[in-house]
Amino acid sequence: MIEFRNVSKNFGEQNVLDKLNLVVEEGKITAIMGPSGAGKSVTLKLLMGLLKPDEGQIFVHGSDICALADDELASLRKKFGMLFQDAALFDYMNVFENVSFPLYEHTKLSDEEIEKRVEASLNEVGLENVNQKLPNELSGGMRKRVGLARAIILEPPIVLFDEPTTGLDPIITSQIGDLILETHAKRNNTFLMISHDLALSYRVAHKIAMLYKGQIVEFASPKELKYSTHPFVREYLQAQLNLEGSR
Amino acid sequence: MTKFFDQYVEPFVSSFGRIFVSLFNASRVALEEMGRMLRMLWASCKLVVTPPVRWQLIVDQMQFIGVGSLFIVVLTAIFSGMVFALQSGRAFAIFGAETLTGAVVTITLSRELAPVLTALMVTARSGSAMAAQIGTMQVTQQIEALSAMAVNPIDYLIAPRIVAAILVMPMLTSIFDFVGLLGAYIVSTKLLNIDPAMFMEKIRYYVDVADIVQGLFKSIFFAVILSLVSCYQGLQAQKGAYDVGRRVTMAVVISSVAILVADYFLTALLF
Ligand SMILES: Nc1ncnc2c1ncn2[C@@H]1O[C@H](COP(=O)(O)OP(=O)(O)OP(=O)(O)O)[C@@H](O)[C@H]1O
Ligand SMILES: [Mg+2]
Repeated sequence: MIEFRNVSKNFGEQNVLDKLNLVVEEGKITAIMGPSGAGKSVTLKLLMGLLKPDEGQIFVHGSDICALADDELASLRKKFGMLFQDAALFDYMNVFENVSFPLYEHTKLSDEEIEKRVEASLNEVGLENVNQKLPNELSGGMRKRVGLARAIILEPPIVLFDEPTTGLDPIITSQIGDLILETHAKRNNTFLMISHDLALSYRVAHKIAMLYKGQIVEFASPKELKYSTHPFVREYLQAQLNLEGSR
Repeated sequence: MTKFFDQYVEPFVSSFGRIFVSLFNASRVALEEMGRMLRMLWASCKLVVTPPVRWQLIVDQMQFIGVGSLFIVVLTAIFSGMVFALQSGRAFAIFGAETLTGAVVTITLSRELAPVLTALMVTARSGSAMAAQIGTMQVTQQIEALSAMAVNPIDYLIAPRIVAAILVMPMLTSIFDFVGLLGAYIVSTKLLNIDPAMFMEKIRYYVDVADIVQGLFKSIFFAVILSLVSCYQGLQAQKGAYDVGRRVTMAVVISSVAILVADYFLTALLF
């Protein structure tokens, strides 16, 4: 279980998170939605211990990650996989080296074994024949998918996705949705996903959290969310309907 | 009278005060930065000895620093040796002691010129590259990605660079010694018409192994300075390409100055 308790985060004068509370259930898929710049990516980085909160606590499996020593934090991070918003691939490594990196670092698998795993996971995200390419030689969407493959290659119990489908075409987007559902069905891991894609969230998420003005203003299942009375949530959903209507 | 004071004395005094305050602040910041760098060095030392030792990364970095800087070091060495022989040979000729040229050049090279110039060249070539690489990784979140994958950036990026620099710098300095001497030999024997046998004989007589060892010892110190400063500056880059550029400049400037300052104190205190 992951719990944010009264977490605040400021950057200088700017208050990004304001006593945020959120409980992410184990074995569930939770989506965080909210306006651009609301602090969604910051929330994930806080959870990974990449940023420190100014106030509040973040619990993962009962321990407050802000109180952990460096080596304890490192061993906790082995339970996580993370897809960064702009993939954050190592730009001097080719695709194969990027995706195999966690395997070489944290497992004792043989080279052939690793090659097989990388091949399989690149196929899962719909990529082939890209092993030798450098990140700069890929399209944005391809980079995102390589990042996704890297995030889940160790089959971690908790995976954080920062906008897994932004910039992808509808076919790949739906394929990524399948991938998330399949992976989840197979291993029952905890997924925390940031997305602006309402359709994807409705399809895969058990719970959707709405982040607005530094707080979670709504936390509900996709079905319940449609009946939310919070003005911002209504506006968000209405805007989505307008978009669909204009098609 | 008060007008005179207001117009001339007061601004002078207050600007003096301001300079003093900003100097004080600057040195406080510098001390803080030094503290952080030393902590990073300590963390690297601990991580280097905890298994698994990252030999592959160390070797890669040795290759990058060593092979990459070899050409420029050789070039610097040959010309330094040549010009130094030319100058000192001519000076010695005034009182007929030109056969001492070889010995003097060797001592100066091995004690000072080789370690210092090698360190400056490696700073310019490899220190700048270290700062740029690490700085770029920092601003593109690659360092965060490393941490997120439970890989310590100090262990993966910094420690191997420091170790590699420590291993490579004495080698490059030895090469500088040798090539510099070669340059001096060519100029002395071909241009200044010093007898080759006498040239070598005086070196054998006056030059001590301790001279060479001193230079190599210094080069290890310089290796730590340049790799530590460059990596640290790279890690400080936060705000994009402009910041990376600024940090690269700072890495080179600070390393170079620190090398020269350390050189003085090492010489004064240890030898
Ligand atoms: N390292 C940082 N330094 C200063 N401010 C930051 C930093 N990281 C984020 N911010 C600020 O925090 C706010 C939230 O950023 P964040 O990246 O979390 O937004 P987001 O909700 O992920 O938005 P998007 O949907 O556009 O990705 C932004 O206003 C941003 O300016
Ligand atoms: Mg974001």
